[in-house]
Order: sequence, then C-alpha cells, then structure tokens
Amino acid sequence: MAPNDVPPCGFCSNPIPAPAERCPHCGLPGLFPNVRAAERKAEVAALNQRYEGARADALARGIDGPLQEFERAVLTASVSITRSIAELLRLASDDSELYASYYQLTEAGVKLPKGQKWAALREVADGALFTGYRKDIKFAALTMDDRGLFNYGECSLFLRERMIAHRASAFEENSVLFVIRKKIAMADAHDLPLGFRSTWEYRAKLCVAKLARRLESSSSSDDYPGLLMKQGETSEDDEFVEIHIWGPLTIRSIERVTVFRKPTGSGALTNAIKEKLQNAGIEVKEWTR
Amino acid sequence: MDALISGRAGVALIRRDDSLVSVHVGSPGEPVTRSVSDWNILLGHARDLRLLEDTTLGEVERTLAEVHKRATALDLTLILLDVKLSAEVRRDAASELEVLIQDSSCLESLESVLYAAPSPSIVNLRGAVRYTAAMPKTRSMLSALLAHQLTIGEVVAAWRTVTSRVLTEMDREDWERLRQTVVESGLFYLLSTRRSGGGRLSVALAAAKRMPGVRDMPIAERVLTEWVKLLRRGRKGVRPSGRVTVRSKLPTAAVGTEVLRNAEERFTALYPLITRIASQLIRSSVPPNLADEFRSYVYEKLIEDDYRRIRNFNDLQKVERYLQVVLRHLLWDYRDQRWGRWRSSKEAERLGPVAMLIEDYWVRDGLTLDQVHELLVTNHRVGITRLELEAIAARLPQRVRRRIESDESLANEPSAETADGNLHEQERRQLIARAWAVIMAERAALPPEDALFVSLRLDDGLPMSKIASILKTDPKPLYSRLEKILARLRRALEEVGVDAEIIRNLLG
Repeated sequence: MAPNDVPPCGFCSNPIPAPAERCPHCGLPGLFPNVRAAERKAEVAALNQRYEGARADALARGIDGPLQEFERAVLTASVSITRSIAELLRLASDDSELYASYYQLTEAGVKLPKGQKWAALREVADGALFTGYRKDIKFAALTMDDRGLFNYGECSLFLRERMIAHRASAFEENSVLFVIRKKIAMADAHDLPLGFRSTWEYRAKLCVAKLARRLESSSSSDDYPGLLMKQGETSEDDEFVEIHIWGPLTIRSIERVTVFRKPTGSGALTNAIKEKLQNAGIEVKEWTR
Repeated sequence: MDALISGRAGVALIRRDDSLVSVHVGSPGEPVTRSVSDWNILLGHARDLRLLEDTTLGEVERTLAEVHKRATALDLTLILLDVKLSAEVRRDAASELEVLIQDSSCLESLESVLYAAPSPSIVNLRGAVRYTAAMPKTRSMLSALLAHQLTIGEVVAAWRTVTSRVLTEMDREDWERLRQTVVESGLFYLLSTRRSGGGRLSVALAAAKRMPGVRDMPIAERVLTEWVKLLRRGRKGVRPSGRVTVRSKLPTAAVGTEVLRNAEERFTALYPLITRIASQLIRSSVPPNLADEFRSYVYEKLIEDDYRRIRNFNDLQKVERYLQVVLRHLLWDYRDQRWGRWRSSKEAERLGPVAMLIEDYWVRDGLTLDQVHELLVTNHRVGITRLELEAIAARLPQRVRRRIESDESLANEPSAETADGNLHEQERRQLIARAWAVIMAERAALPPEDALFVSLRLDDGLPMSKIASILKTDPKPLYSRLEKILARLRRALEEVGVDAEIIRNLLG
C-alpha cells in the first residue's frame, strides 16, 4: 500500500499511520482505521470498477431494474452480531456496577497458547488483517432477516445504524475465509486484493459488485434476504457480507434482539434479559427451531 | 486433542490433529466442524478462556458443562441481586440458583467470586434474601455474604494495596490473570470468612502459587505472601480483651478526607468487637429469624452519616462500653422501627417476668408458642412446661401487633389455620383460661409462704435448689410440699368440671 494512498488528516493534511485513532500531528480524534482503509483511493477505485462492471453486465442481461431495486433494498439491511445469551446479559448490564464488579473478577486477558498447535488460530486472533487494531474490531453481518447467523449462537443483536455508520466498514465475505480461499499467507493479509471492502456509505456498491451476477429477471424483494445472507449447513458454508465495527458496543448501540430459546436453557436468564432490554426500549423477539 | 473453553459463551473449540470442531452446552456429543475463521465470532470476544491439553472429548464436555454451570450461577445471583428487575424474574433466578448450588463445587466457585469484591449495595443483598423463602441454600449463602461484607472490604482493600505497589512491575494481562487465579483459588473467600484454620489457607495459597500462568510469574509469590501478611498484621489491631488499637494498619478502599478515612479504619478495626456485642444482644433480645437482619441494621447504622457514631467517640479506653451502649440503643430503635413502641400489658406485668417475656416473643415478635417455649428454655433457662406456657399465654390480653412483612413473604405464607381449627383452638383457650382462673383463686387462698413458693416455681420457673436457697430451707421437703399444693389445685379444678387432660397438662 502506498503511504500517499491513505487519506490525509482532514484538519492538518498530514499523512496518518494506518492504525492511528487520532492524527499524530494535530491530534484530530475519531479516526477509525478500518474506515480509513476502505477510503483509500485505490480501494475506492477498484470497488467502483467492480461495481460498474456488475451494472454493465446486468444491463446486458436485461436485469438493470431488479439490480437497482436490490441496491436500494441493501440500504435498508441491518447489521447483526451473534452472541451467547450470557454475553447478551453482560452487554445488557454494562451500565450496572453490580454486574461489572463481579464479571471482571472472572476475566483475564485472552492469550492463546504458544506453540505450533494453535498458530493458525493465533494468526486470526492477532489479526494480520487489522494490524495494530484487531482488538478494537467487532465482527458482524449484513442481513435482511430476523435471525442473523444462527450457526454461532442463540442471540442476534441488530445494531442502530446511527451508532455504527461512522465507524463501520463492509467486507466481501468472512474476511478470514477470504484470505484462505485466495491462498494469501496470513502474514500478508494486511495487503489484500483491492475492491473487496467499502465504507458504510458505499456498502450497497459492494453488495452489487458481489451479488449482481446471481440476480435474475425473475428476482423479487422476497429473494433479497437469502441472496444477501445464506445460512449454510456449517459456518463454513455461510455466505454473508461481513461488517467490521471499530470500538465498543453497549446496550445503547442495539436496536432489536432475537433470541433462540433453548428448551434446556435457563428461563430466568432469558426472562431477565428480555426485561432489561425492554426496559431500555429494545424490541425482543423469541424464536424456536 | 486440545481445547479452548469459555463457560460464558458455552462453547469449547477443540483442535484435533489439523481440524477444528466446536462443542456447545446443551448439545453434547454433537461436535460441529469449524474453520479458523470461526474464531472471531465464536470466542473472539470471550475473556474467560481456559485451555485443556492432551484431553478427551468426554473431559472437554464435562469441563464445559462445569464452567458453564458456574457462569450461569453467577449470572443468576446477579439477577437475584438486581433491584431493577421484577420480583417474578428475581424469584425465578433464586429458584434456579437453589438447584445449581446443591452441587457443592458450584457453590464454592460462586462464593469464591462473590467474596472477592464488596457488594456495590447492601440494599441489593438484603432485598434478595426476601426472594429466598423456600430456598435454604441460597438464603444461607446470601445471609453469610451479607454478614461478611465488611471483612470482604478489608481483604479487598489489602489486595489493592499490595497489587498497586507492584503494578509497574507487571503488565495488565499478567495482573488480570493473577487476580483471576487468586479469585478461583478461593483465597478471598478463605480470608474473608477467617476459615483459615486447619491449614486450608496454606493449602489454597500454595495451590494458587502453583497454578498455570501464575507459577511462571515471579512476582505472584511476593504479592500473595505480602497480602496475607498485611491482613494478619492488620488483625492484630484488635485484641481479644476489647482494648482497641484504633489506628489499624489496614488500608481503606474508599478515598475521602483524612477524617473519614480514619473513621473507616477505626470501624474496620472495631468490626470484630462490634460483631461480638451484636451477637450478645441477638442471643438475649432478638428472635433467631431476625439475627441477620439486625446485624445488617447495626452495620448500616454505624456506617451512616460517614461513620458519625464511630467518628464522634474519642475516649478510646472506654470504647467497648461505648459500643455496648450504642448497640443497645440501636436495638431499641430497631425494635421500635420493626414493631412500633412496645410496652408489656398490665396483665403480663402482674403475672411476672416470665409472662412479660412470653408476651414479648409471642405477641410482639409474632413467634409461635413452640418457638417461645424453645427460647425460654434454651436462652433464658426458664423451667416451664409447654402447657404452663399455654396457660400464661391464655391469660394475656389480645393485642394486634403491626408486623412488617414483604408482599413476597405474605404471598408465599401458607395459611396456618382452618375454620375448624380456629374454633377448636378458641374453645381450648377458653377452657384453659377458666382453669387458670380457678388456679389463681386457689393460689390466692394459700398461706403466704406457700403462695411465694408456687410463684417462684410456676411463674418464675426457678429450680428447686434455687427456691430452697431463697426460702432458706432444705430442697428435699419442697418436692412433697409441691405435690400437696398441686393435689389441692387438682381437686379444685375437678370440682368445677375441668377436663382431666387439661388438669394433667397444667399441673402434671
């Protein structure tokens, strides 16, 4: 990546190092490294090229209309994040000194074991893809349905757009699988092929570039949710557009929640979470398989 | 195979040869194939990871179930303590928790966490106890936790002092790992409950030092040793005689003015003495079911207004006497607050001190006659039979007492009476009252020395040896004298048609 490719500071116009959260020269805060990576000129140009190519192809196939409708629909899609029910309780109780004071006692910094056995996992956890700021990134998925990725946990949290739009970026698919499929060494993952990520503002362009070829003239709005997110038999078969959110999430970042109630799970835990979320004005839906 | 396990997430990620699978709580025996890409969503946010090496699937599933159960027990406890949640949710949490902590290892693990930080609010704890009416394990755990809040504060403050001295020598992650290990080893619990006898503390201390992640941390041994040493040194501030070294060496957790800090230190140093005096008062004047509540009341009152009651006292030579007076006044306030101002009835005063005690416990405190009998015999050493007690109770005027009960306990309280039972009980009381009136009339006709003898025996419940010393006579003849008087009373009762069973029960 050429250093001059990164957008300079909006205040002092000096270059800013990739993982910086504020300009090292003038101190301008609120710079989100993932968003700045997606704003790189080369990245934007490559995405535009893919997008225009997809549109030209759609025009040639006579599906320009459905494509435009799909593009508009993507703008209404939500961002969902999957968690266990206990993690949701933790999030729902973030404001409470009671919960915080006891939870912190049972937690220590995550450190994956040393040695070759866990090397691959450690590379993912250390985040070559997000050098210098992996610990600040939350992984989510773009979705038009109510369930999120249920291969990962029983609760799907749908985030408020205005709480994440400024710090979110979109990626073509599960970023780690992308690296594996493209046979890129994890150590080189910071320098991915261009055109596969976007800022939140241009997420629809990314979705069009990725999914236009799957649209047909008969495609309707009922098909869009399955097109945007496909629930696979296993998590490796899941297909979705990955959203990277920089920074913390709290209960105030959440708009609605869907909970899968396990027959063997704790009823009190689920009910407590429902009550907490509803008290905070968050819509809760339950579902069973 | 090796596994990474998170109890909170309810997931174990297993590395077997070169493949990855996950196992989930509630779905044992159904491993799901995974790729490294799943890390970010499955466990990337988990902060309670533990590693099992060279293990088996069965072992992983057992460990996952165990750590998940412990995490759930903590969640349920916090829900139970959460005043912002509805009574229904909190009651359900208590009921699920009761089941989980039947497993002693789950209870131990839960207590090891709960004793590692003072409760942010004592009100939460006291409130939670209300939801545990039919849950003895949970109730007992919360009551003990409530009673130990101040010691917990002391132990945690010492920990903070020791670790703050070495913070610059270790990174944040090491510090968190050390804290987690110390919590899990139960050291906070052992030190707070003073259950360090029998070598348990040394064993736990040694085990903590050997734990993975800590044994490689050279600073850990120093921290643990200094922590325990600081606490032991601090406790020497209070001597068994009750003479107090007020400037305890213990640090305080709170930050405030020098005066407040001194008051806190003083309170911490006086805590064992306060507990001892409170226990004495409880034994003599507080029904057993209210012992924990009264203790909490005392602690709260001593802490309120920035330790006003502790701060205002300066004559340290008389501190024990001062605390006895303060706690005695607090007892009166507590009783006034709980039951309103109380005076014994004229009838009870006329019947004597035993009747006044019976009236206190039965009418004022709302105990059953069985409980009153137990208290009189064990705590007050009154030699009174159950029927004698009933006879006195029947003579006491009916007074309606204000009982403060939560909606919760009222809703759960089973009805103790039936319509038939009420009628039967009423008739029985009337008969006993009639019999008692006859006895009193006969007693009034006795010669003065016999009347005094009967009063000492029946009203005050004194043993024969004591009566003999009061009457300055040999105890032996007193037995036949008592028999003669009782025979006379029996005849009088038979003449007015009192049932033989009641006579037998009243007079033996």
